[in-house]
Amino acid sequence: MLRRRLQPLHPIAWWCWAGTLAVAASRTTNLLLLGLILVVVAWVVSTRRGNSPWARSFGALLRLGLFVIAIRVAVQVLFGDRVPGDTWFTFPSVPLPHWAAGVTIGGPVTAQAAIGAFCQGLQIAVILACFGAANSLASSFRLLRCVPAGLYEVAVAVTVAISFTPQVVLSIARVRDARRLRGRATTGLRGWRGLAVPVLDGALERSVALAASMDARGFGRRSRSPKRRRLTAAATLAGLVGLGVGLFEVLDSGSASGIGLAVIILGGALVIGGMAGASHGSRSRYRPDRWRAAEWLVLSSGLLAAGAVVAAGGNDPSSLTQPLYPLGLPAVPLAALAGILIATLPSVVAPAPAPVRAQLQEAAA
Amino acid sequence: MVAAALLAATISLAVTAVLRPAAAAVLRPAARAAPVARAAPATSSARLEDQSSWQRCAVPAHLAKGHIVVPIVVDFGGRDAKVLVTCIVTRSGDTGAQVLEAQAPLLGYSVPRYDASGSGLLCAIDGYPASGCGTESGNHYAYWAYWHGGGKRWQYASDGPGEWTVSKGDVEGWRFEPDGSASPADPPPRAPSSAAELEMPATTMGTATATTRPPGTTGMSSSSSRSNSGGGGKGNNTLGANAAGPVRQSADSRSGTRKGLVILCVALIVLIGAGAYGRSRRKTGHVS
Repeated sequence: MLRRRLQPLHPIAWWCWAGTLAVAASRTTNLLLLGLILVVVAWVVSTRRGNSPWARSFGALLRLGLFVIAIRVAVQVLFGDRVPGDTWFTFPSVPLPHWAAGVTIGGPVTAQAAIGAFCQGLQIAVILACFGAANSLASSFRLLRCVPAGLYEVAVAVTVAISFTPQVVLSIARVRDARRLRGRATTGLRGWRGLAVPVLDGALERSVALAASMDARGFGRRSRSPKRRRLTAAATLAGLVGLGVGLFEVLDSGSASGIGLAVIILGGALVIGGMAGASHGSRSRYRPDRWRAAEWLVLSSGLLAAGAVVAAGGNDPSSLTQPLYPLGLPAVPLAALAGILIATLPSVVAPAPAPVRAQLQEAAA
Repeated sequence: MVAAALLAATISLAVTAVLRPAAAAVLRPAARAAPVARAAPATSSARLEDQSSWQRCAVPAHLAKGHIVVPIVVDFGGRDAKVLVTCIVTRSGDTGAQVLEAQAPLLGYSVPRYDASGSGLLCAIDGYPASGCGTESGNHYAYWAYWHGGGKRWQYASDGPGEWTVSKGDVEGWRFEPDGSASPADPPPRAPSSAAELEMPATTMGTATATTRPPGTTGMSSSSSRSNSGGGGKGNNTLGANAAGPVRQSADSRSGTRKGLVILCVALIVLIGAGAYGRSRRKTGHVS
């Protein structure tokens, strides 16, 4: 049977889509919005992820998210600010001297404290889930091919940053298999103890090895003159730092975003300038990923979702937060909810993953 | 690169979220400041010049075991603003926040409003101010300053109402500072700071008995016995009780539709989530 070979969606489109949803999540502690973002991401992952080993990243990061929520709530309950409100129960408290005002151990646990901490934990968990979705949906190797050659100066860092999460997921599977074959525990506390070190070690090692091999194959040729090289390196590095700081400014809703935006633009310009200065000659690509209509649709669906949430916040900031005083049901900002639902679009417009199941059946027949 | 940026954003957000309690502690103007200097110039008697009238509060004749009377002074700031003194019957070891909250129903007030982010910063008492929370203008804040009384003079609190626990002889003080510096230099409540001067021993108001509600929460005061007996009270207003009727009704119908919408949303979320779960189960099931 002749099947038209479909090229998978451009990895940058997937990352942008996940990134916009993460931005939307970072703007709200409304349980409904966070829950909807989470299930929308999960739905798209379930329909469009392939059978690659790193497709399991989403599940792994979901579990990490649960861990984050547990830590956040536990810290709040045990050591956090004694937030006033409706007391649920009281932990035995340790009186601390006067100069330690603001630090508490134990004491009354209010509904407001616990629910507020849960919402904040869930927010981080949803952002982690978006990150996991991007790792599940887009191949890190394809993404690496899109990294401009001019980023040579930070090539190792970029390679490790992009490939670390999928490598961790791969490592977990590998080390688990090895331990199972040796008859050791793979679950529970004992299992995790034996797992953690080899997994982190192996993942980082493989990421660095990947970076080295890419280096050896000429990823990012440098320009010949050392002076120019130094200049472009400085520009790229300064630009990347600027991008980081600017992103922090913009995403932290407490600060004025005007400065952050300016810093992002400046940093972006520096990075592009540095890359343009560093790139020397052209690079050929084997079967390049193309940016087509589907990529535009996926990208705009994400932008619409984030835009709807940000706009809802501008309209009525209280609609994006969990009401704590008095404790109540979260607001239902319909426009924001509809916007997030639009982000399910990739489950239709993105090309389906390679049908491995059918191939396996064919091979078996 | 996008991946690196997203990772950086995630980490920074995680860090801010973890550090948020600490940040709130630093930023909180009302509840956290350096301990009061010994030689604070503003004694309570000197400040009583811009006298707003205050009235002693009645103490119930009989207290249940483990209960204490804590006078709470709420000074609404401004030159002619009211200064309310209420005697709250509470359990020893209850928090300042619980005492403040117990005062609200006695006066027909709306419950105190706290910072929506859950930092524990008090924003409004009886809905005043209507919006904002420690609003900053220049180097000054419009905020509710928290004071501990019980001794000779008011002490600027170095902890939040959720952390402070009351014991016998304590007096709680709140004063709205429309233009405060968020430091012990802000003016204290315009009422004496010692319990003896604030309390009116139960003689004529003999009926004010301590009604024991759910343990450990609230109590009685002179103000409440006055408003319960159908007005005639000359001092404290009961504005909150009068205004409640029509507002509450419309709020009820609105909360009804909101509840429906919330249920609808939750159903949608569960549906999509179950669909995603089912799909991924099926997929992994086939491969392995």
